[in-house]
Amino acid sequence: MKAVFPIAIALGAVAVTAAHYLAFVHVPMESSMGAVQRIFYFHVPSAWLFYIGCLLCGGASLGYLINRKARWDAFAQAAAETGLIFGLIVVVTGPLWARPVWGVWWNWEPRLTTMSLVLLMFGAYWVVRAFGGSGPGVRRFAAVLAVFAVPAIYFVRVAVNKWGGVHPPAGTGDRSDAIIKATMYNCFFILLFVFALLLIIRYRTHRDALTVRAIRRRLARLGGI
Amino acid sequence: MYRLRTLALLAALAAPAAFSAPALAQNDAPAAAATEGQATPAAEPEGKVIDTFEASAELEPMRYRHLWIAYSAIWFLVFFFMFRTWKTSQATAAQLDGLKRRLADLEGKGGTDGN
Repeated sequence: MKAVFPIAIALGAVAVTAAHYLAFVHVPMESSMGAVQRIFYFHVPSAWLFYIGCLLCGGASLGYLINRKARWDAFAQAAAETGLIFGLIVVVTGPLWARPVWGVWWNWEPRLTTMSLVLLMFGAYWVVRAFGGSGPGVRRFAAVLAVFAVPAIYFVRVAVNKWGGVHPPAGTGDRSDAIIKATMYNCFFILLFVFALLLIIRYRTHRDALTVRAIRRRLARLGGI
Repeated sequence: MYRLRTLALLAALAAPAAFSAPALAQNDAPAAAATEGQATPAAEPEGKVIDTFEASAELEPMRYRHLWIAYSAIWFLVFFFMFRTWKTSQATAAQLDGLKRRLADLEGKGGTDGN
C-alpha cells in the first residue's frame, strides 16, 4: 500500500507530460488566436476542476453540518485546498491569454468578476481553516461559509450567457474542430487524475492529523504524555 | 512553518506567469495587434464572444515555447507540492502508529492494574 502513492504520483507526472505533448505538439494551431489558444487545454480543465473542488467542499461541509463527523470536515478542507490550487492555475493562465488577445491583463467583465468572487470566498475558507485553529466553532463557521459559497459557482457558469461580456463561453464551442475538442477532454481527464490524487493525499493527511490529536488528548488524560 | 511553506508555494505558482508574460505579449497571432495600454478588448468588439475554435496549419508554430516553459514550471510546482504532502502524510501516519502503540500499552497497563 505504501508504494501506491509514489507510483501514482509518477504516473501523474507521465500523464501531464503526455498532456503537454497533446496541447503543444499534437494539436494544430488555432486559426484566430494562434499559439496563445493552447493555454485553453489547461486553463479550461483547471476551471472545471476548480468548480468540482468547490462543489465537493460544499457537499462535504453540508455533510459535516448534518452529522458532525470530523472526516467530512477533513474531506471538505482537502477539497477546498485542491480546488484552490486549480483555481490559481486558472487566474494565472487567464491573463496570459487575455493580454495578447484582449490587449489587457484583466477585464472586469461578468465571467472574470464572478470567478474572482468565488475564488475569494474559497480563499477565505482556506484562510479560516489554515489560521483559525481546529476548534469545533471554526469548523462549523468554515462549513457554513463553504455551503453559502457553492451557489456562486452557478453565476460563474452562466455569466457569459446571461450578462454577455467578452470571455469565451464555457467549453470549446459547438462548432470547434474535433481534434481541439478531443485534446481538451483528454487534458481534462489527465488533470482529473492529478486532482484526485492530490485530493486523496490531502484528505489522508488531514484525517490522520485529526486522529493524532485525538490520541494525544487521550494519552494526556491517561498520563502518557 | 508548514503553513508558511504552503503560502510560499502558492506564491511561487504565480511566478511563471510573470516571467513568461513579456514573451506572450509579443505573440504574433492576428489578434495580438492590440495596441499598448488599450482598455477594451482588441480581438472582438464588446459583447461579441469567440464561440468556436478552428485548427490551422498555416501559422508559425514556435512562439509558444514560453507557454510550454510556464506550464512545465506550474506542473513542477504542483507535483512538488503533492510529493511534499505525501511525505507529510507518511510522517503523520508513522506518528499515528507510534501513538497507537503507546496508547495500547498504557491502556493495557491500566487494564491490568485495574484488575
